[in-house]
Amino acid sequence: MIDIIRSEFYKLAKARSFFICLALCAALAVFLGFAIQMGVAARGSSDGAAILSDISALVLLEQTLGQPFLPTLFAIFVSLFVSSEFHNGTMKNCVSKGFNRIQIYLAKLLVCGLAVLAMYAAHVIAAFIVGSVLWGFDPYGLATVSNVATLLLSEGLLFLAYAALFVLVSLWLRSVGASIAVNICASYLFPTLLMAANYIVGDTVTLSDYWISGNISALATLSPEPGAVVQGIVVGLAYLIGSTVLGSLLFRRQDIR
Amino acid sequence: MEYAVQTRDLTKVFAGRSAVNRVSVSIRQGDIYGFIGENGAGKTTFMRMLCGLARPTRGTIQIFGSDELEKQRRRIGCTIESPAIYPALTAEENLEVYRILLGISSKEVVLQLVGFVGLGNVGKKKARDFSLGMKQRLMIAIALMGSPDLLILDEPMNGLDPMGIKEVRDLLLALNKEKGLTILLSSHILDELSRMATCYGIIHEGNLIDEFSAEALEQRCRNNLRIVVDDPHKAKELLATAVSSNFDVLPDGVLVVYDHLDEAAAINQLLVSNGIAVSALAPGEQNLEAYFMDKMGGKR
Repeated sequence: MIDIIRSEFYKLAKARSFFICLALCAALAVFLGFAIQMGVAARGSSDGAAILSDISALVLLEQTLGQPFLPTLFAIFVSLFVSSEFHNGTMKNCVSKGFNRIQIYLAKLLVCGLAVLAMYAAHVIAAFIVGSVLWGFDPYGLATVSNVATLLLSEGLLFLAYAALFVLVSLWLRSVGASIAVNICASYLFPTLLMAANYIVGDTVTLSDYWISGNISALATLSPEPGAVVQGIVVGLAYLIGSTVLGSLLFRRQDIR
Repeated sequence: MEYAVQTRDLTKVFAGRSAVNRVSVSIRQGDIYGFIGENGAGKTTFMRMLCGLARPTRGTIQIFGSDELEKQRRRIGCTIESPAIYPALTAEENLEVYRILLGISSKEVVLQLVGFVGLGNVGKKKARDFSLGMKQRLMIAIALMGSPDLLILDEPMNGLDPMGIKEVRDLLLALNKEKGLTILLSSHILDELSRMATCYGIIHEGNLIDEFSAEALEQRCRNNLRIVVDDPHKAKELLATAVSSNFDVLPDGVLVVYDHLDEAAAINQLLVSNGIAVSALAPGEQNLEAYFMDKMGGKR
C-alpha cells in the first residue's frame, strides 16, 4: 500500500494540472481581494468607508469559500488525475501487477484528497495574505481561534467529501471529458437544481441541507447557524465514507480497459 | 511438468455473447506461446483475464501452479492493447512510476531498462512525442520492470519498423533463452511469430480450435499432400477409415493429408477405385500463415 501511495505522489508531483489548479486557487483569492478593493474605491469615500469597516482577511475568506469556484477547480483536477489513468491505459499496468484493487482505490483517494487540501490551503493562505495587506487580518477582533478553526476544518472536511465523490465519479465513468462534465455539474449545477426541486417539494425540507455545497455555503462564516456545524460534519462524513465504500466496491468489480 | 499458466474452461461473456468460450490452455514454463486469431477472436480478452483486468464469467486460472492470482501477478509483465504510458512524462519518468510502485530501491534499474530497449538517447523528450515504435519499446521496458517470470504481450510488434521488429524479437528471444522467461504473445505478423514461438494456440470466435508445438507445425507445414476430388465428403470418410485421420478439409474442399506422404499413388488408387474422381494430387508446403488461413475456414 505504501508503495502505491508513493507512486501516486510521484505522479502528483509530475502532474502539471495539479500545479495549475493550485496556482489558480491562490490567484482566485488574490483576484477577489483586489476586485473588492477596487469596488470599494469606485464607490467613493462615504460608502467606501462603511464597507471598509466591515471587511477583513477573514471576511474575504468567508466570501470566497461561499462560492463554487474552489469545488469547480477540484472537480477539474480530480477528473484529470483519475480519469487520465483510464484514458492513457496506465491503470492496466497497476492492476495487472496484482495489487489489491481496494488499496489502489484508497491510494488514489488519499492523494486526491491531500491534493485538494493543498489547493484549499493555498487559497486560504493567499486570502489571508491579500486580505491582511489590504484591510488587516481581523481589525475589529470579531474572530476567535475556535471559530476560525471551525470554519477551516469544517470546510476542509466538506472539500474532502467532494474529492471522494469526484474520485468515485471519475473511476466510474473512466472518461476525462465525461468526468469533468459530471463533476462540474455536481459542484456548480446540482445546487441550482436542488433549489429548483425545493420549489416542487415545498418548505417542509431543505434539500440543499443534504448536499455538500449547501453545507459549504452555510459554514462559510465565522458565526454559523446553531446546528449547522454538526450538520455539515455529518453530511461531509456521510459523503466521504459513502463515496469511498461505493467506489471501492465498484472498482473491485470493474473491468479495466 | 511445471506450467506458467493453466486455464480451465475460461469463459468471458459480454452482453450475452461469449468473447472467450471455455478456453483451456497449458503454457509450460520457458515456452514462447504464440496466440493467433483474427481481430475480435478473443485473444485480448483472454490475456486481460490472465492479467486481472477482466473478471472471468466462468472457469479457473492458475499462474505458476497457484490460485493466489494477486500474488502471482507480481511475476507478470504485460502490455495489453495500445501502449499504456504517461504522455506528459519522459521515458525515465514513466519507468520511475513503476519502480516506486514495485518497491524497487535501486534507481539504476530505470537506466538499465531504458538502455535495454534502445531508448537511452531520447533524453527529456516526452512520451507523447514518441513514435508508436518508441512507445512499444517503452511498454516492453515497463513490462520488464521488476524482473517478471512471465511476459504477456498483446501485439508487441505493432508500429515497429523492420529494424525495430528484429530488435524486439532478439530481445524476447534473449530473455527467453538467458533468463528462462515464459512469454505469451499475440501478433498478426504470423511470419514473425513463427520465428519465436515454441507453441501455438489458435482462437476463433472465442474458441480455442487448435494448439500445437513448433515442431508439429514444422511437420505439418513442411510436407503434405493436397488432393482435389469431386466428392470431398466421401473422400474424407474414406481417408479417415482407410488411410489416416491426420488431415484437414479446407473450405474449398481440398483435402490436406499430413502423413503417409510416400503413399500418394496408393491413396490415388484407393480414391479412384471407390468412384471418386481425383483432379489433382500433389505434394504441398505451408507456412504458419497458410496453416492459420486454412484453419479459419476448414476445421478438421
